[in-house]
Amino acid sequence: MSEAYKPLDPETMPRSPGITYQQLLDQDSRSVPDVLRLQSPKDMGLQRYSVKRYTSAAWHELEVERLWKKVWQFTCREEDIPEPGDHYRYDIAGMSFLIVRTETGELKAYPNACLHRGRMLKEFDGNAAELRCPFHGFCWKLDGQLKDIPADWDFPQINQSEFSLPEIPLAVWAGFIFINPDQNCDPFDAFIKDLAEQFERWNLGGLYKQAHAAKVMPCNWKIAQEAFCEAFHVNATHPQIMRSIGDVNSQVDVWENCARVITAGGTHSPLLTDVSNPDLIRAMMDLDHDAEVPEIPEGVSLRTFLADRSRESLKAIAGDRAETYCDAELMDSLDYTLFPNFHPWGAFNGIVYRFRPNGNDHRSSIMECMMLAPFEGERPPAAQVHWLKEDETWSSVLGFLGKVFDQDSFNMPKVQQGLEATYMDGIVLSGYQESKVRWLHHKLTEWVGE
Amino acid sequence: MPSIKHPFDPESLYQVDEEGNIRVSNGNQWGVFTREGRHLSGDIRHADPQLCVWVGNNPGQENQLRSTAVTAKRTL
Repeated sequence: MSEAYKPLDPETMPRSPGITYQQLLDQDSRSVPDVLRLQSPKDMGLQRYSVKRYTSAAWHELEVERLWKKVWQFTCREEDIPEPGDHYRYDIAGMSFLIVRTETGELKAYPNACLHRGRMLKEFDGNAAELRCPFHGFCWKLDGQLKDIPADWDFPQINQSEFSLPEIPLAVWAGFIFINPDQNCDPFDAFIKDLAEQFERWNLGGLYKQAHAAKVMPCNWKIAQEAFCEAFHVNATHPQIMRSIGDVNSQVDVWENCARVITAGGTHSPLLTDVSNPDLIRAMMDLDHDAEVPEIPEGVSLRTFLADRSRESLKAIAGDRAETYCDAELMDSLDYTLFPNFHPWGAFNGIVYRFRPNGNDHRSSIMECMMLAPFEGERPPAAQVHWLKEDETWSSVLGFLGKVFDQDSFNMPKVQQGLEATYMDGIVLSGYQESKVRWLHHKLTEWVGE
Repeated sequence: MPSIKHPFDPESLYQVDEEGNIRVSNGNQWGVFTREGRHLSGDIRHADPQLCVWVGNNPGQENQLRSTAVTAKRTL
């Protein structure tokens, strides 16, 4: 653990008035898994982080050289390339890679570039029996070995047995394929360890990708990402859900390579008083202000009532597995982040975010949301990515969740513009609520520098 | 029409009007705003832009990528 992270005592650290997340867990109607009982608050100081991290092309170039070319990063799901010959094009900050399923079912990653004159080998995801360059026809087998050089008599300098595509380190966790552009990188196991231990119970590998949406956002990738790394913004950005979630009393935990924010549902924000149960239910269900709502049976807590309803709904797609989830796993947002940009939610939600630079434009980024779902019987085919156009809303494809994204998206270009205009030299972050954002910047400092 | 009362100001009611704008009323006073919160008419001159974004955002079901859990909050 970095020396910059000083453990805090959850019992004595400064925190919001109102019920704590652990106290809410004490009221759960089911046994609460150990992973939710973990607490890892950290004191990481109160320093500011330079605005240049969001506004400077030079800082982006450092990020590319020191981070994106060196770090393990999520590319696609195994289920995106299930058959031999299936390939996925993964682009990051001006680089391009091919993730390929070979004839034996093995996964390989290569730079997406011909070894002759450098042309991109594949422009699109798809299926092919070989990797043939559309420029002069140099061709490689799916396992990367050279297959054919047209007019090979004219290339006496090439040792054909050594002219294989360079292999990029690749690893799989829970159905997610990661690569590292650095062929001398550190092992993946140490990189994923913190996250993998905490997700043992939730088995994201057993889910299938039911939906996948992406959009180019007019802001630096960190602005988009950081919009999803704390619940403090709920009171201003998502006021409509304050009646149904605990925002400023969210629990924030930081480990070496991952962090999480747990925001409870079925409880109201400590910033509000006297929220009635019907108003909480209306907020949770996005119902009109005077809509009728179900009555809560006597002796049943609101959270348990709502969790029971959610459990019943989940049974339709998850079967008896739904019975194994406690109230908290059904009601709460368990938003994990694996550095630098991978965001799987814990429990049944199946939500996964990814944020990355849009090519080498430091003022735009690609935001994605995948939704994983349980299934019974044969694995359904994975959903292909649906790219939203500039004027299309997230809600048009992701419903209620998309409506929330649209509010976050409403802020993003204004944050970019404000950071371009500001006279302050660094952004200000809170000590606890925004400690996941602070952790991300600590990690960036380690990788990229100040 | 979709409607919501502001959590910090429960007397302020946000509703979508027939033209797709947001009508904010509080007692006898009212104001009309765009879906981004820009004032159009009426005595109430300021509205919470994010609540305007929210109440004015009512997508159809036809293009939804997922039909179950995404919309589960509405059908809970």
